[in-house]
Amino acid sequence: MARDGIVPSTLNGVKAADPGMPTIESPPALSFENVSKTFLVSGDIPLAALRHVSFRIPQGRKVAIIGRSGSGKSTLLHLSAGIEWPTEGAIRLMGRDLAGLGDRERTLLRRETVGLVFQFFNLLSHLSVRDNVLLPAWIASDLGPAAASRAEELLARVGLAGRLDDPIRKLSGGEMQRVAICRALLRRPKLLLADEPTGSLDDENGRVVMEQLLSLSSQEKTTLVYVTHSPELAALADETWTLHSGLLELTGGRH
Amino acid sequence: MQFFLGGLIARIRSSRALFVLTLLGVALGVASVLSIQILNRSALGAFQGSVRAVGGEADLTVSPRGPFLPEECFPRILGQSGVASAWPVIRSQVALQGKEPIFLELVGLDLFAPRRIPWKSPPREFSQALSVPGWVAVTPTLAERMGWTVGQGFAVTLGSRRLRLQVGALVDFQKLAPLASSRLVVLDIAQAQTLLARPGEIDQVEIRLKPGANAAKTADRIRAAVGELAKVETPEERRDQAQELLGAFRLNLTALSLISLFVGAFLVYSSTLASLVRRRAEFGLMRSLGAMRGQVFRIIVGEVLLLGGLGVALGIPLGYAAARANMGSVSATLSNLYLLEEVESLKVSPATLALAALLGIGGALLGALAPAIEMSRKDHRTLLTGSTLRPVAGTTARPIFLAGVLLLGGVALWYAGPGHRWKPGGFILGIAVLLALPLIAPVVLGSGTGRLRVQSFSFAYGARSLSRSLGITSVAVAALAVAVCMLVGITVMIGSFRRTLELWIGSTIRADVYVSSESWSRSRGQAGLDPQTLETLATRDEVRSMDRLRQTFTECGGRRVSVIGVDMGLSGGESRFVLMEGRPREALRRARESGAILVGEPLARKGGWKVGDRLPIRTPFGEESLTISGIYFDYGSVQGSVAMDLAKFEKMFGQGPINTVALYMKPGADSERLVDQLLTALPDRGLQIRSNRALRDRILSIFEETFAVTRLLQAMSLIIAACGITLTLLVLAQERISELALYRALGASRPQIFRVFLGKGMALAVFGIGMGSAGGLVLALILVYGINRAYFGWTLALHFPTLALAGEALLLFSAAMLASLYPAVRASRTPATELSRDDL
Ligand SMILES: Nc1ncnc2c1ncn2[C@@H]1O[C@H](COP(=O)(O)OP(=O)(O)OP(=O)(O)O)[C@@H](O)[C@H]1O
Ligand SMILES: [Mg+2]
Repeated sequence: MARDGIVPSTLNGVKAADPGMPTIESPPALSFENVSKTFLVSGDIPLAALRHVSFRIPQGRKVAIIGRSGSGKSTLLHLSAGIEWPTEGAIRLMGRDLAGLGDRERTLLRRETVGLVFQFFNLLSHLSVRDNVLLPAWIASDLGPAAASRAEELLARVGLAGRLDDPIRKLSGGEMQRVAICRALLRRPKLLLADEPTGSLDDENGRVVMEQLLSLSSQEKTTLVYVTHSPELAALADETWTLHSGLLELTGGRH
Repeated sequence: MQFFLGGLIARIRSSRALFVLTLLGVALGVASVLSIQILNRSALGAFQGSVRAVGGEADLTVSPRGPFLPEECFPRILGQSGVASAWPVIRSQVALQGKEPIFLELVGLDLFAPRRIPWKSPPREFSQALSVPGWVAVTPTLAERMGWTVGQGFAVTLGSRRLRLQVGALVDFQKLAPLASSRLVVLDIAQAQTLLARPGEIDQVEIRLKPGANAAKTADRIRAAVGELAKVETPEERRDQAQELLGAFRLNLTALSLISLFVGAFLVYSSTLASLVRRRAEFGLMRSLGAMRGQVFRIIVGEVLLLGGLGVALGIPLGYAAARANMGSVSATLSNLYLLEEVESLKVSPATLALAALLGIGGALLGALAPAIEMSRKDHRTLLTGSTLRPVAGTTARPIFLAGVLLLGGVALWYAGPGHRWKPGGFILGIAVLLALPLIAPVVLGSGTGRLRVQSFSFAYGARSLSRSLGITSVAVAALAVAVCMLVGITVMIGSFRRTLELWIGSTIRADVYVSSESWSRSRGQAGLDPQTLETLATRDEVRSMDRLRQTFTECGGRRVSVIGVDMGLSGGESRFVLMEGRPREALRRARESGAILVGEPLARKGGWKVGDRLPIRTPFGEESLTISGIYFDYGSVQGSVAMDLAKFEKMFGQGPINTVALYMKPGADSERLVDQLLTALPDRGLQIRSNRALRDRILSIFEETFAVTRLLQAMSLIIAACGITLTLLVLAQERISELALYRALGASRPQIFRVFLGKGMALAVFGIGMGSAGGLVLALILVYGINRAYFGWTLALHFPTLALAGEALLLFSAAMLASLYPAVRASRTPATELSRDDL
């Protein structure tokens, strides 16, 4: 990747092995600076879900995050999407400090720059395949013919061209997740966050969906951060990070 | 049990708002039923209390069919075998002057009769009671209220006469009958006859039977002895009569109050459904761990019982407070319209409370029944994997709709056929309308919102998605529709009534000044204006002519009604009667020349009388049948009335004072000024002098007072319906939390979610108000043309009080919006992290 002149990620203040590359030309897609997140559980017992996490992810990079259950992976993604707030530290999305934004601006920023894919698909069962993909455009009041053709094009790329008007419940799990990926990509987000996108799928299906996710985000030049439990799927990313009880370290190096 | 309680507490904690709203709904429903029951029973209690206080432990009462009983009857009654003792009574209501006149009921008794009189401070010598003029015994309550002590004198008026009375002793009737009026004033019967200027007249005879004597046989013997003059009744029969007299009034209020409970049951339905859906996995787990269907059902029922119980506990004080607040207006209605006792205190019997508790808990159970059965019938696999609120109504909406249409159509057909001739037919049809609304609600709401064209993620998006949760949203619409239906129906009915009354007043109240006395409103025929007063009025320069009226109560065609005598020849006096049958000029001429009578509509309807029929009228001396020459609209009484020429009246009922007069003034004279001048010229006579305008206002304010309770009941059911909207939207906010979280994650802003929810509330309001208004218009027709005519015998001209209706619609809509605010805010605060771990 370095060959493509992409700024490397930095992790915990240490640049990942790739010296001599040109420095900042465009802001990183996502950066954490000494971010900690502490939940208060059972009333008032503090639980550190993330501890002093720092990193920068240049645009276009694909990062896989692995870690044990409860290690803070989802928390990291939620913080990145601006749907959770850090207890400490600064998070920048496309160069903009989330802390400085109110709920409205943060929501708009998320709407315009972030795409989300979830383990449990979170599709609306009463809508058709097409309408589920169009939902973000609906919310953004941008439901023109452009959005419609974009939805059809995305669905065609994941092989669902014939299923546009089917109700969601007629789809298989793998198909559902592909619909969710199309939905996330509809508005050309700069950053795609996927929390265990294959967690509800069997290995075979999971691999197919993951490959589609990676190839789509490459085609779209989207930065991708995904969480997975499978080292095999993690290996498909540019680099793999591991979370240990809220502490982040680079494990997989750069592939 | 511990498991049950623990689960319950956790559940209440987790959805506090839901629980509070449901509780409020049940409590308000119970309160409205209870308040009406308390008022009904207290009204009857007041009547019975006075019967008991006046009658002592009498076994039989003889009362006149004509205006009074001649004294000669008494010895004949006393002489019958089986009669142990008997004592005559004379009664009259007099006015005690004050800012608002207080009416005292003078009861002339034989103080030496062998009956119990609960003396508080017994008179040292009874001879005083006979010798001291104006000697009376009053209740301690009245003495305390007025600051009187024994020996003190006071003045009351009867008609234009002042009577000087003196407190001679205290008598505590409330010891004998707790609900007896505190305004009973006892005096010796001979004194009373003199004071009231009614020599030789008595109003009733109370009878004690010999031990072992047969009441029915003795009554027959007495009837034979006194002949047609009187009727002989047991205390129970008298109570039944009062009950019957009030029947329609009570029935209406009871029906209205039950509607609140009905609306409350919808709330229970929604909240039970919501809590069951939320816990379906829990139940599924229980079932798969081996719990029986019945066990699941029992847990649900147990919770609802607790909810009902708490609702009752809260509803009882609320209901009592509502009854208290409305005692005055109900009391005024009873005394003004039905000429019954005023209600001074409330009677809350254990039976009433038990009934309220039964209805409250029963209503809650009824509301919970359907979802509970549904849930306990499902097998555990469906429960564990089952989906959200949708399936509950989705499949059944159509059959339910059909049932609603069939129900309404069937009952309407029946009513058009034989039904409308049966008195309660209108009620049945009205109930069918109210039941049909909830039944058709799911389909109407579903197809209505499902068809909405949605342009953006905003109000319409929210409205449209209502069709996805019909199981619960249609219930909110149904509750609102039922409440609105009742509101609109009654508003149109009251509006029509008021309009009719205004028109009627406009044509019948034409004189410039009306003179009566303060005691007139209660003692009617006995409240006379003395000749001197009449002379003063008639000889005023401004006065062109004077219309005199006499009134009495007597039995006409088997019903005790008011009979009035007026000068049928008064020039321009035709307008006093608006005829619904007969030609005005002709009818009045025949009344003047050949002693024909005019009959008021309620009497004509109840007795089936028509022009040309001969109506038997009881006089103090016998009975005379008079030809009916006209039937007039009459909104002044419930029982009805008869009008005849004044000369004929005097022939039939004997000489007597004029009761009220109406003055027609010469052109250009100022009536308000005349009223002021007359009030100064004729002081201290307890006169009631009102200008035309003041009288009209007074009639309308009595009218409005009559409907005060109705409005309270309407308000209660609307509050419950508004709670229903809040509850439903809260359920949606909870139930669809992951959907909302998804919207947030996909970039929907808080204001957007807020608008989506407000859109839901708006749609609920629009459909509830729309369906309710449609039903309300139908209900209005039923009320105006069916129920009202059958029960009260009044013809009302249908009138839509457009302004009032528009105001109500606006108010309702605002209330619904207000009710949506809190859930909308809650929904908009849904964190995007609340994403589902499950399929949506
Ligand atoms: N809203 C919350 N309130 C309290 N604690 C939370 C909250 N969200 C997460 N946690 C806790 O923070 C820690 C990290 O949670 P997180 O969901 O990020 O884990 P994860 O790595 O995604 O686990 P998994 O692989 O099981 O999804 C866990 O101990 C979790 O219990
Ligand atoms: Mg996770």
